[in-house]
Amino acid sequence: MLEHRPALIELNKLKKYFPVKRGVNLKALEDVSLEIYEGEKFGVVGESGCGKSTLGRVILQLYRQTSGACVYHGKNIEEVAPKYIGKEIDKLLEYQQKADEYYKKSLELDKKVEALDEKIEALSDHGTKQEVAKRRKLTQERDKLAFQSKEHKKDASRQLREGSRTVGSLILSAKLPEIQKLYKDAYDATVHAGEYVKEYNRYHAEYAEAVTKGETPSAEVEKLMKEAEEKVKKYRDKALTCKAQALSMRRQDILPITERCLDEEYQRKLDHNYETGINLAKLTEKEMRSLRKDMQMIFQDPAASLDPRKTVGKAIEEVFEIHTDYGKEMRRESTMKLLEDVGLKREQYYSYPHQLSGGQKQRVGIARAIALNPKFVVLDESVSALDVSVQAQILQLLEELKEKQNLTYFFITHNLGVVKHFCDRVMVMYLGGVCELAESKELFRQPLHPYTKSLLKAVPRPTVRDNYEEETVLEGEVPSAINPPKGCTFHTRCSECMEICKKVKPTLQQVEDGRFVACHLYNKNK
Amino acid sequence: MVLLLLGMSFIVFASLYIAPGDPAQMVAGVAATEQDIEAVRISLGLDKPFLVQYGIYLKNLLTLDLGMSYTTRQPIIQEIAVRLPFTINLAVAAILIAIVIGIPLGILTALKRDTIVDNVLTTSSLFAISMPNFWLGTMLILLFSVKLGLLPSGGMTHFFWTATGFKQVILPAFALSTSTIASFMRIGRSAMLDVLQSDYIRTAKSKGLSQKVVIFVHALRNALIPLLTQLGTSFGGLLGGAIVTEQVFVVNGLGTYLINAINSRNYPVVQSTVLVIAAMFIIINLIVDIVYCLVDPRISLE
Amino acid sequence: MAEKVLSVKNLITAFRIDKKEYPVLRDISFDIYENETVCMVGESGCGKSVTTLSVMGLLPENAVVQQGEVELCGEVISGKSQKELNKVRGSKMGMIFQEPMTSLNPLLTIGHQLTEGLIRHKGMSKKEAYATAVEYLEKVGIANAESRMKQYPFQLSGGLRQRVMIAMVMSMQPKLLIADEPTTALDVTIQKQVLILLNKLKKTMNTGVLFITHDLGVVAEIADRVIVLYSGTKVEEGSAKQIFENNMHPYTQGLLAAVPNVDKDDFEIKAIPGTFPAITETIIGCRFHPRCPYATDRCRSEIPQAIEYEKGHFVACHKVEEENKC
Repeated sequence: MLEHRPALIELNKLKKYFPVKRGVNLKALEDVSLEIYEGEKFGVVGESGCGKSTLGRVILQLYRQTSGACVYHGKNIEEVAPKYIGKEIDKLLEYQQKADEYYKKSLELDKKVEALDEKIEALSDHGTKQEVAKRRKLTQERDKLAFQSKEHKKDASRQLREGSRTVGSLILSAKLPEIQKLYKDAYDATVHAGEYVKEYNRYHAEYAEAVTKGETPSAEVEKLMKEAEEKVKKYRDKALTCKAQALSMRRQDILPITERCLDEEYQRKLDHNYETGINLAKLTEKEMRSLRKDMQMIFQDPAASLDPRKTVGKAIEEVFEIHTDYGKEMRRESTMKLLEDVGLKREQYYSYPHQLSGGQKQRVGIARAIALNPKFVVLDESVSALDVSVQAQILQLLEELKEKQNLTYFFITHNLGVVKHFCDRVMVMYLGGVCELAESKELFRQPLHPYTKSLLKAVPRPTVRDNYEEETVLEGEVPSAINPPKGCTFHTRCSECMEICKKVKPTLQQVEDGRFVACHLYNKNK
Repeated sequence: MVLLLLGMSFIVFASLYIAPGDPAQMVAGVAATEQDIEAVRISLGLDKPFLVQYGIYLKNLLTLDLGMSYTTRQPIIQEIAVRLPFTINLAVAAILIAIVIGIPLGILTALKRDTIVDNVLTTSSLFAISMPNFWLGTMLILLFSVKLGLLPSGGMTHFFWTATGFKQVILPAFALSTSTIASFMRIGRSAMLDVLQSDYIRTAKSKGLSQKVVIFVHALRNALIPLLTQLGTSFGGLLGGAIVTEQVFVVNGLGTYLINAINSRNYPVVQSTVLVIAAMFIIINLIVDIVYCLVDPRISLE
Repeated sequence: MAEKVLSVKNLITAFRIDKKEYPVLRDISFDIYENETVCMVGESGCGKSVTTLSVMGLLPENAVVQQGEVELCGEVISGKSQKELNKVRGSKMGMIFQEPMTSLNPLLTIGHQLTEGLIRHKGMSKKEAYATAVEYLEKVGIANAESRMKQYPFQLSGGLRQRVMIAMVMSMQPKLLIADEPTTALDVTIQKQVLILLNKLKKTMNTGVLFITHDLGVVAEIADRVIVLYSGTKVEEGSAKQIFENNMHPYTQGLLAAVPNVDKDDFEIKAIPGTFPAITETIIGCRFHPRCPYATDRCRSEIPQAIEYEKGHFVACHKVEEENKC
């Protein structure tokens, strides 16, 4: 059993469609669910058009998802206090009420069903034609009601589940109004704390600027800084107390809203639903912008993202200007330090992009991305355009930075060699879906999905072989994502295609510890 | 397209509606009494609410009834029908001159990049763009009609494909087209340079095709695409320019008609002329779009 | 004995930058025979593309051939005018480029682009050219060749366009095919399809191929002989086996060590330290010495000459030379 590792990013049934024409969509991502662990190098491979770049951009919310959740665990809701949480807290009572209503409706329907059952029982099935007809009609009626009742039960559960995202099993409590109040207070306190964090940062920047300049910071600033810090602590404490108080009411005064409610197992399950991460999909643009400090991207073509008329130093400093309160000296000093961190010289602060080689430009791109100490970095073909010797240098740099700053990489590439030696886990994508997900070593030792196999076979290898022409090649090309094949999207090119593959889409299933495959060949329920 | 025309007609109609002066009074004449004016107002439908008036106006438009000219009491449509051909004649001649001179010059400067030819032509194009066409027109008249006596100094009675018409149109059309020639040349030059550096031109050269084939079969069509866009917008500029040029060369076209109408506050005429010019502009752009499809297969199939 | 298709002798090509001329190719010589694929590898800026353009006579305006001779099928073509070159370009040597997306004229049909060369060089009628074009489209594995003839490039995928390019060039039955990174822009599975196709065509048509790439994996799959270029100089040349299994030059070794190999398990990607020299940079001695772990004083002062280390295996390195003297 693999140790349980904390996830940094959690995707749940993520979909991204790009409208092409009215009613026609390009299905770039289709139900992608996965977890990216903290501190890992997560690789994504696939051919062009498989959706790997789109996925990277959707995670960073550069494209908004069509549906699905994208949860970030690098910060918790106590630190960010996103607006959607406030709205959810307001809706708690509604969830509980609706669940109750749905369940009651379903119970009423159940009663009707019972009554009908008795009636049907009373009618013999060998009776007259009329009787038979009546019996059939009643049975139909009964089935319809039973179905409705079942749906209502599902609705009730759904309401409770929605509520449990915010408060866990407390959604079942009879004291929900009180709990709601506590959560609301905690939320408001968090919002206040956030305001003071901003204030603190401002004073701190002022303080640090003075220190960098070699001056003694003014006592006034220091005092304000301390005050802000205390306020933050005060509000944070308040939020914590409120939440603790609410949590102490767990497992008490539980309303029997549905029959399962008294079941401890179910309560635990609801507690498990409690979301601590931030659902990026629900954030406003402004909230996302401030979170973007944590989540950065490095592109394939470093030259394209650098303004040719701006010095390297200015290009990096810009990041500090936008996202921090740093003063001039502090910005310059941090930039120079960054340049050193990425293996450039301090003097290159004054260079223009055209004076740098491709590798050095990419180093500048990296410096810009890590400037704000992000936790999560998306690397979109970041080493693909570089020559091998430089590519190796950049990969080494990325490895060092990861260790030093505890980064998590989402490494998008078409180069399987690089993935194999750089990434911890690898996901193979085809036409917007996940084919296979495994530890890198395992995947390359024994690929399971037929697509992974043929992809690996096609990789050019730096060893001379004689039977080159007899090697098998994957025939044909990737079909259009506007109208992808039914069933398994790969079935049109798969050498092991079965009847079922043409009809049923395989789901991503765990076949071994940490190995996931979406292929009917490995379907245990076959 | 239809929407565009509709919007155009609305703007034109509304601007007339809010224009100062009472049309009824103008039609009725200075000596008219209150009752006369009121009678005229009712007969013209001017007493009805704005939208109803607009509706009537639109209905009339559909039957090509543009109303009466206040000054001549003639149906405007007839007056325009007499004058429009001359304006079109002038504009088309101008655009043809621009195509025939501008595009080849553009290609020439691109092929002879950074030589004396290129430098001289690109610099003179600057002059051509900045020269006002009424001034150039006057100069041309002075030189070719007054001094040399080669060409008529004004008037237009025939179309440009007849000998007389050609002589009549050459000076105004040239005066009108100088800035268009220059812009065609500059755009043609940069488009051609772009195309010549493209990968497919390298491919064509690597196939051992002759210089002529590379330029005329492979490069020219690609370079024409940005020129087409320019063609559509230039035509609008030419129509605007024609208004002034017609004055200089005493051509009885839409321009002269429009300016006279403005001077005499003949609103329905102004309104109709503007509408006709706008419609022509839209039609030209439609034609350009169609030509696009013919030239570029990527557009027709999308 | 196979016939020599291309012979390049002591080629020096230079670029004019700010009125000064800087050599990009520093005395390059090599031969290509019939039915042979010679791969030229090296990093960007090493001069591999300039080599192809020098041979084709398609150098940009600011480049000049300062010295050297290019011989195609026994005929000296260097120094000829563009008009004379047009007679051999296409018919005796053809070229495929890296970018399939932009290498075909977007406004002309596939059919037009395929037949125009045939009509010009082979003196075919339109009908004959059409038939030949269709035949070659089928040869490169394009289904519905007839209907493809009427299509425009934008209607084809990248892989198909590259096949069309290949059909276009090969239909003229050139003696020499120059392929400049023809698969770099393609996905791996498509790349493999195209490589296999090129190999097959080379054999059946007895063509000599000059294949330019930076991908050592591709080299191993397609090359008979390999030339390793570094900053305009040929540092090593040998058969594919010699280069991959018995490489001698420190640069070749460094290059191979930097390629992440999918077949190896415990493999640490090793970078070559330092940066690739700009063409304007003056380096005395061996061009590679600033990055070479074995550099000696001799390397810093004297340009190494190529020695034949074993039959057909040339290395330009002082270290290799010295070690083999003893």
